[in-house]
Amino acid sequence: MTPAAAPPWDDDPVPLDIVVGGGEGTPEVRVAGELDLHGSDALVARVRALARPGGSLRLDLAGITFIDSTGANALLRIDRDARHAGAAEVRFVVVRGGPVARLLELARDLARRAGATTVVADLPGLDLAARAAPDRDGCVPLPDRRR
Amino acid sequence: MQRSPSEKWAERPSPAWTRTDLERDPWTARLRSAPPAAAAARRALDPLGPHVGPERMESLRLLATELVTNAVMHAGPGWIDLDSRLFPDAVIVHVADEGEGFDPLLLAGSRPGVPGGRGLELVALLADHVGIDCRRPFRVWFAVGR
Repeated sequence: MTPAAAPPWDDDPVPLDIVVGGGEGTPEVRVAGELDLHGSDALVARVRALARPGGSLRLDLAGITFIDSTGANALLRIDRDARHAGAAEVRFVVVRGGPVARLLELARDLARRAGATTVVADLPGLDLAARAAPDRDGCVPLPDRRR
Repeated sequence: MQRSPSEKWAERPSPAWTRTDLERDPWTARLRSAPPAAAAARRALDPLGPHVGPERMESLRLLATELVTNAVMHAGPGWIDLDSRLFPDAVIVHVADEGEGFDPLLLAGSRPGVPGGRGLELVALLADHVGIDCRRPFRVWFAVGR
């Protein structure tokens, strides 16, 4: 049997930059660009191997210029995967009033209308950066909404 | 038809189209049904930029992305056609695909237990009007005020 041909979009650049930094057990991932269907699986796969039991995972999303429901679900998968892998803390840094924060607010609107929680609205560990430029010192942590 | 690399995912009008052009003629961006089509759909809306408010433009990009993503995920391979037309007070975008279509109630609100990315609910929330044409090709349209 001949191997299946690679999908024709495999060589198409994903409009997303993923830079992994931080130390062993405390990885920090900077994500910039447009997070949609094309880049979501790649991001989830890239981050999946990073979480360590008892460690932390931090995703800096301040460079995200566009995100849709597929991208928001990817963030949820990342959060779940890391907690399954035993990570003690998973945090997402987003710009206040930026694309990610606005989409999450829409998701909360949907949840309120449905009278139920949506998967996206359950995303814990959210930091809202006060400034447009990614600046860790400018992050304003929200109260942890986990029970 | 042979395509250059830049035309691989979308055929689109020139960004230099004037408002009069956009009001007179709806235009079609033809996207190949594959993951890069989501970004290609957003680029295909660029000519609207000078004629629509920035917040509305962001809604348009998100709406088109959700519907094109839905088509890529569920309609199978083939073409997705994105038609846009500028009206004095609104923009109307049609997204047509070669699939079987979907249950209109998916646009109507939450269906607990139905898997998926909630993209269609987001469409219903963001668009001023949204509708479905169940003839072939299957077509979803939405209107957003300018």
